[in-house]
Amino acid sequence: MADTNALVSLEYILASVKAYLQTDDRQDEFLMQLIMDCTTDLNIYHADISGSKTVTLDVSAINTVDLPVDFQDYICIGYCVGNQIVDLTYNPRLAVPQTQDCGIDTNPYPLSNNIELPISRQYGAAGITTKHYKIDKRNRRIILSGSIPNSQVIMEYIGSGITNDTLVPRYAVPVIRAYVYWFRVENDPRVPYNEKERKSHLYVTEMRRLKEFETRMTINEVMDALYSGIRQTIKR
Amino acid sequence: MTCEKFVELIVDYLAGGSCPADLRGKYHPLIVREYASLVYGEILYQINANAIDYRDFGQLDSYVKAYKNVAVQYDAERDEHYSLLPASVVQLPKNRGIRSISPSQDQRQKFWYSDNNTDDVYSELEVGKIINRVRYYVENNKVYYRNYDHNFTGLLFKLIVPFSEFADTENIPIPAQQNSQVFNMIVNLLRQKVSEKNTNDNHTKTQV
Repeated sequence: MADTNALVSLEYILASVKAYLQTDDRQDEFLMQLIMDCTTDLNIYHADISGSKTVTLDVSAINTVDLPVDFQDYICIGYCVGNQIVDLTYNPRLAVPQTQDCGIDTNPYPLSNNIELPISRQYGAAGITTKHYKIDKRNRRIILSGSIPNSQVIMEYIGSGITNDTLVPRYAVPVIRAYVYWFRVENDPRVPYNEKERKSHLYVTEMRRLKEFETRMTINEVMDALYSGIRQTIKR
Repeated sequence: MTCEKFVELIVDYLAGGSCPADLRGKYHPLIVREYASLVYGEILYQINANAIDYRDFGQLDSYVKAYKNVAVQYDAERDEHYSLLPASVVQLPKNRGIRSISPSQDQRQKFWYSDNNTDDVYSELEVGKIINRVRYYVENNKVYYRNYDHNFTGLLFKLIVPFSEFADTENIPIPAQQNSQVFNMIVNLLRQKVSEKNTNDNHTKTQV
């Protein structure tokens, strides 16, 4: 892959690690596993480098939606109106359908009734308050309530970040390299503690650089934030 | 220096005036060759250790002998593809005697080395499930492949072979400035050999 590309493959990162370590090919599998561990780790806990996805999911007959296989956590759940996502409202009190009829899941609860949240919880609730959702993690599905237009839900979610064609932004490569350097020696009893600590520190430093890069605001974003609190009023 | 020349040089030394008397003219070139093989292995082990210490695996690559178009066979009982090693290989840690295995015409698709009996570990991890690269592991004189779903016409093996695998006319790669060391190591080994006894006094330790 050319060095001008913004995204690089995991194989590229492996080659990069090997070049810096000046090692041969005896540990390729182990190093690649570390690279994958780090990519997953970054996706889930630290930064969105390749894992966040948007999917359109079909609503089942019992008003549930199966979660994608690589689902870790969600960013938003809603349905599409025009070109915008309208959020659904999180309702932890939705009942999970657990009855079966001839081996097929059935939902004894009303599917499309517009349930109201308790008054105390309606104030400030996010999303459209007549359509609710709850994540049933054990059964890896979303429980819905209310009639969903087109019977399709749009979800932005964080995946594990690893597939056979995973690409990673170039700015995340130093963090992944630092992670590999660290974990390559972390469980090696021959490596002194200070060396392990130094490599761990390098990883933290690189991680900070990544976070700083990802969260850095442009001048336009700063001005927008400033102006959003300014109003024109009548002069006195 | 060719293999033949090197052996001749030692035989000549052993027959010459500067050689210790107990060695003079006693060794056949084939015997010398076997001893040279032992010493060569030792030298390669040192070079491997140096390569790891100094992160200079190019040192090992200097001793490589390439074998082209090695056939891939299928073991139906094990349901695995394998190749017979085209030559014996110097046994180094992590099987570093096998420098690389790749399709004959694309060394960028080099197969990954895998330790024998690690399949149960890596096949459970992402690297085993997602990365489709062919792996190889060594078992005696065979190299078995994992993820082998290709149809390469022949493979390129780069091996570090023992002294005995060199033909008389082939050049022996001996590290620079270690020629005399190798030479002396062979002579010293030969000196330790118990001489044939040529009297019959029923005493095992009688040599002359």
